[in-house]
Amino acid sequence: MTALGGRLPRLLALVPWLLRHPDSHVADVAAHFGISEKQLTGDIQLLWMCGLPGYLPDDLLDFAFEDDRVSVTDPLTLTRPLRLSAEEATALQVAARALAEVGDLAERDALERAIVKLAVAAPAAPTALDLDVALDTPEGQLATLRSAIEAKVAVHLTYFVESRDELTERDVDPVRVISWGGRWYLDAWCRVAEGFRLFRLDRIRAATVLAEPSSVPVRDTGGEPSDGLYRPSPHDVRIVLELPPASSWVTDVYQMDAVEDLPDGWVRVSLRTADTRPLARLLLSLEAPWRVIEPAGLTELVREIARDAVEQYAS
Amino acid sequence: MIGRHLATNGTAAAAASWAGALGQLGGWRHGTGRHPRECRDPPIACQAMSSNRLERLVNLTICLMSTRSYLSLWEIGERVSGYDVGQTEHEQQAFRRMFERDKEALRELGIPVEEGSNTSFRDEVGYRISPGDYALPEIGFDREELAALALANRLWVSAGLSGAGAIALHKLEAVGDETATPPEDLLPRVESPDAAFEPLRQAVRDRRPVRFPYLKAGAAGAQERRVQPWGVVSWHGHWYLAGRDDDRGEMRVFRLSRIRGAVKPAGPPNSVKRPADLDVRAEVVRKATQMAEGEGAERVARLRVRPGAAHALRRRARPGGMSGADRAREGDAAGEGAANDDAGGAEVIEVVFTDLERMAAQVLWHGADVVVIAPPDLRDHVLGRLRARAAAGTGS
Repeated sequence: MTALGGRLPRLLALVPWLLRHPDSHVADVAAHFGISEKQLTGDIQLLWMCGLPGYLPDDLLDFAFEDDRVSVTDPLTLTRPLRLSAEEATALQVAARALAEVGDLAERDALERAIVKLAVAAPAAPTALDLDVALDTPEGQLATLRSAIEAKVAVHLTYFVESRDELTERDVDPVRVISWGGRWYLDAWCRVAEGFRLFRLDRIRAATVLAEPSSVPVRDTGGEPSDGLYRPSPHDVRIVLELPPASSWVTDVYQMDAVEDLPDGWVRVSLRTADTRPLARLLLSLEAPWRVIEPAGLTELVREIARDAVEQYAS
Repeated sequence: MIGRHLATNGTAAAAASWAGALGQLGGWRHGTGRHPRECRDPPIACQAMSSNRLERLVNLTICLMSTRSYLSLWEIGERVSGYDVGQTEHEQQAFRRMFERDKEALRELGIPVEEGSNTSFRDEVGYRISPGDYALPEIGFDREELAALALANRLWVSAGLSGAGAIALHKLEAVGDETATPPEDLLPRVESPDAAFEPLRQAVRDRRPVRFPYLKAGAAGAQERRVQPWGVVSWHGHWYLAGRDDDRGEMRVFRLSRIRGAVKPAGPPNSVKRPADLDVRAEVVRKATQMAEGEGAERVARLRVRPGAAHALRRRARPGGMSGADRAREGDAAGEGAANDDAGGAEVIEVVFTDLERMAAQVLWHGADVVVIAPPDLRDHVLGRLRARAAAGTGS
């Protein structure tokens, strides 16, 4: 869509919206439409210039302002919203269907009712889904965790840390549940690590809601998880590996800083990690050859793990 | 045409705060009327290039909605602000082209611009918009439904589709009195799509064949593929394209992250044939599962695992193969608190697998914590690779 394509639908939606929500605070309207107050001002200014042929004052769209509130006083023909475009209907239908299929969700009934209504509201939208999202179903704890978040209480977790192959115990202050990249996570303040951590729901082996209230420190990153869930730390070690085509799937599974194609079909990848042991385990598990460019000790670590394992077979 | 109407033309003044804008609008509203002289220089930037066109498109929409009879091209040109029908042939051509572009822009948004003739005697084409066709049906969405849809639309924030969904929500809000307020405790996000997502989505929508360089898993270099695209699906954190591979003559599933280069059209729009009863998602799930897990007969591996280790394999273990200690541990982990990691002695578990190589990789990942007891071919394979690594220490 062009820049124009984004603003015209908003302009046309704004008038009937304001008609049904009179005396709305300007800041609320702007926030609700996801635009700045300056953009909203610009929109209303533009609309204020528009109207019916003749373009005398009474022929124009009209708005009323009181303090910091705004109303539409003359919507002309724009009393009702434009029907949904195929793109708009698809966006809502696909997302609603994806979420409705997630079992255990409190919003499920509302989503299913909304899907039926959408089909009536936008009959022109394609029913065969060209675009589809299949969310994974979170295992077990979703309802428990959401109830703890709503009640603003802490939770005790038995959590499996896969990279260390360890079951851990900890109290956390839950913030929200996130679905990302096909997985479900609990976003929480971890009292053991004293930092925000993401816990994969399928690795939470037990969650016990505690009686004590949660206390979540203010987050300095603005609260939105960034793309990808990896959070760099100054203690990270830089890793550079070279992998053959047979192992290039690794770049699909692990988040890489850079992937560079080499002339012989291999790829050179670089990543950062706080702990090299899980990476050594990964290298040991790869069938195809690989080369460690840095750090120097990583190859020796793989050899050590292999030697220990061979001894187990001797005993 | 007088009044505030002329005020936007050619203004490029600096933007003002809301307070300033309100003051200005208030001044206009309470002034001696909307005389051009008063509002020739409003203090708000009007994004000079596009706002003239936006204004014209809004005016065109309102005008065509307000007429019962069809308006001819020339009537529109004379009446709607922003058009100039011109004097010369050249100017009139320019006006025609401008109107054509505007009409298409409105239709792209789903505005039903009708073409027709007012009487059967005249064959001059005219235009109008029926308010009934324009308007969203009066279907009320309650607060819960709007909240649920707003929550669902958060999926798209990372995929660039949330704007369309948000406009749709604002429209739904404008046939009721409620607003959509999503719950704060849940944040569903679809993974950020790869560069190929947008062109492929459009190609699917337009039923248009495509070609792109594709790096098949395990292959040394990318190969050009020609595909009739049927659908784009997100599953397990990856985006996939399902379609008919024209060179191989059958359906294939492609992972978007393996498309190495531009997606280009390989045929005209509306030329893709899609099987009527095709369930694109089911096909993607089937093929992607095959890619991820491999095919073959189910076999059982007997593994000796160190206490307090191999938690992921224990989860996959068959109940019958576990020792009593294991069952107790799994029972613990499923419900009543911490597992006791201090139990003495190794335990034996049984795990079902299909692909020997994948099973070996999983065992190897655990190093000395997991030892294969049976079957012999898995044991030999794992031990052989461990010995090679222990001796050479390098990957090669």
